[in-house]
Amino acid sequence: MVSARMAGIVAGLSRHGPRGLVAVAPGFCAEVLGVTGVAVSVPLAGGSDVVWRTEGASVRLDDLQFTLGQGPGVDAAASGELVLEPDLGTVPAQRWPVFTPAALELGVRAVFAVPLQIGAIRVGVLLAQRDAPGPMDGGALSDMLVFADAATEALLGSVAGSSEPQWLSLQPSGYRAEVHQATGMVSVQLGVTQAEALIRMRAHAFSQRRAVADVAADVVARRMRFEENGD
Amino acid sequence: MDRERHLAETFVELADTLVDDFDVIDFLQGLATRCVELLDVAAAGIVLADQGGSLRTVAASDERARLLELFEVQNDEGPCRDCYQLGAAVVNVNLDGARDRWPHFTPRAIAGGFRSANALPLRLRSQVIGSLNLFHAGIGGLPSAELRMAQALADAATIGILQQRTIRRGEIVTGQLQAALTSRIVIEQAKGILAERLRISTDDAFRVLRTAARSRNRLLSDLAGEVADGSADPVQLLR
Repeated sequence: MVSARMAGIVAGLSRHGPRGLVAVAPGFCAEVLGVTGVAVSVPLAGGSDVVWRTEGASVRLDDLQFTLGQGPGVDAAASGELVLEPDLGTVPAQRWPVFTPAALELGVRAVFAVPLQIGAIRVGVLLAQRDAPGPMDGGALSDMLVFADAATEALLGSVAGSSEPQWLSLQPSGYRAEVHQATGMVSVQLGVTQAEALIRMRAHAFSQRRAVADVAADVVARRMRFEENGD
Repeated sequence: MDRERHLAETFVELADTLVDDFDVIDFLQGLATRCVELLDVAAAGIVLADQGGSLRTVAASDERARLLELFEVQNDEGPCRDCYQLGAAVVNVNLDGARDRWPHFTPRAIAGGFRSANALPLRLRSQVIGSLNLFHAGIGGLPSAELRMAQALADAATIGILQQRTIRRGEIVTGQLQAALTSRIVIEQAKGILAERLRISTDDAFRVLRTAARSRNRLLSDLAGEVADGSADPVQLLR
C-alpha cells in the first residue's frame, strides 16, 4: 500500500497536471523512496532527455546510459519491465559491461528502474539509485510504482506532442478496460498515436464535463466517433 | 469423461503450459475457461490488485463486455473486493440477498443472469494478490469439494503469474504482477485497434487476436504488442 507521504506527493502531482513533476521536489521523493537520487527521462529521437532529477549522481547516470546505450533505464525502456538491481557489485560483467563499473565509480551501488507506460504507450523511465546496496523494501517499491503511474499521467501530454491544453491530463485514465480499448479505436479513427488518442479522449471528456470512462464506453459501443476535423 | 479425470488432465495441461516462454494472460484465460467446465459455473474471471490496491481484470472465461464490467465494478464493491480485503474466500453468496451488501454490484450481476457468486483468494504466503471470481446461474452455489477444487485452480493461477518469463535476478512478485497488468492493457489497446480497423466488436477482436497468435505459434501479448505499436497489420491477422 502507498505511504501517506507518497500519497501526498502524488496528490500534488495530479493537481499540477503536466507541470506536476516540476512541483515535486526530487530530493523529497528520493527520501520517501529511501534512495539517494531519482530521475525521470523521456525518449527523444536517438536517445533520451532527463526532465526531472536530483542533483549529483542521478544526472551522471543518465548521461552514462545515454552515451553507452546500456544500463537499467535502457533495459526498462526497451522491455517495459521493472529492472531492479539491489547490488551493482554483483551484477554479471556482461550485463552492462561499461555502465556497471562507471556507475560504481560514481558511488552508485543499487539501481531501480520503472518504465513509465500505459500498456503500449511508453512515455519514459523513472530511475532511482542508492549509494548503499540492498533491495527496496516492499513499501518503498509500492510507492515507486504509484509515483510512476502519476508521473506517466503527467508526462503523457508532452510526449504526445499534443496541442491540447496541458492541464487536461488532470483526469487519470483509470483502470477500465474500455478506456484502453477506446484508445486503440480512436487512434485508428484519427490516424494518430495511442498517446495522442488518449489525450484527445480526455480533452473531450473534460470539455463535456464527463468521466473519461463514460466517453470511452460511448466509443466502444460506437455511439460516438472521433473525426479528423474536430470531435 | 468423469470429472476426476478431467480435473487431473486440466492440471497436467496447466503444468505443461508453464514452460520457458508462455503467455500469462493466455494461461489465465485458459484457466478461467477450465473453471467454467470443471466447476459447472456460468462465468469465471481473475482480478489482480495493483500497487494502489485497485482490482484489475486480467482474464475472464469469455470476453463479453458486460461480464468484464461486472469484474470492474468490483473495484469498489463486490465479492472480489471483499475477498481481497478480508484475505479470505467469499463463498456461495446468494445475490438476491446481497442488495444491501453490494448495492451497485448486485443488480448488475443479477441483470447479467447470475444468482450466486464466489470469490477465492490468489494467495502468496500471507499476501493476497488477487481473486478468482465464479458466477452461477443458480442459487445453490458450490459444494465444499468443488470449493476446494476452485481454490486449487486459484492457486494454479498464482503459480502461473509467478512463473512468467520476466523472472530476472532481483525481480520479485511486484514485477510479475506489474507485467501481467501491463500485458492486459496492451491486449485491450490491441482489441480496440482491431475492432476499429476490421469493423468488428471488441469481443470478436479478442478472438481474432488469440486465433492469430495460436495459428502463428506466437505469444498473445507479443502479437498484441505489435498490433498496439503499429508493426502488425490488423488485416493480415485474418489470414
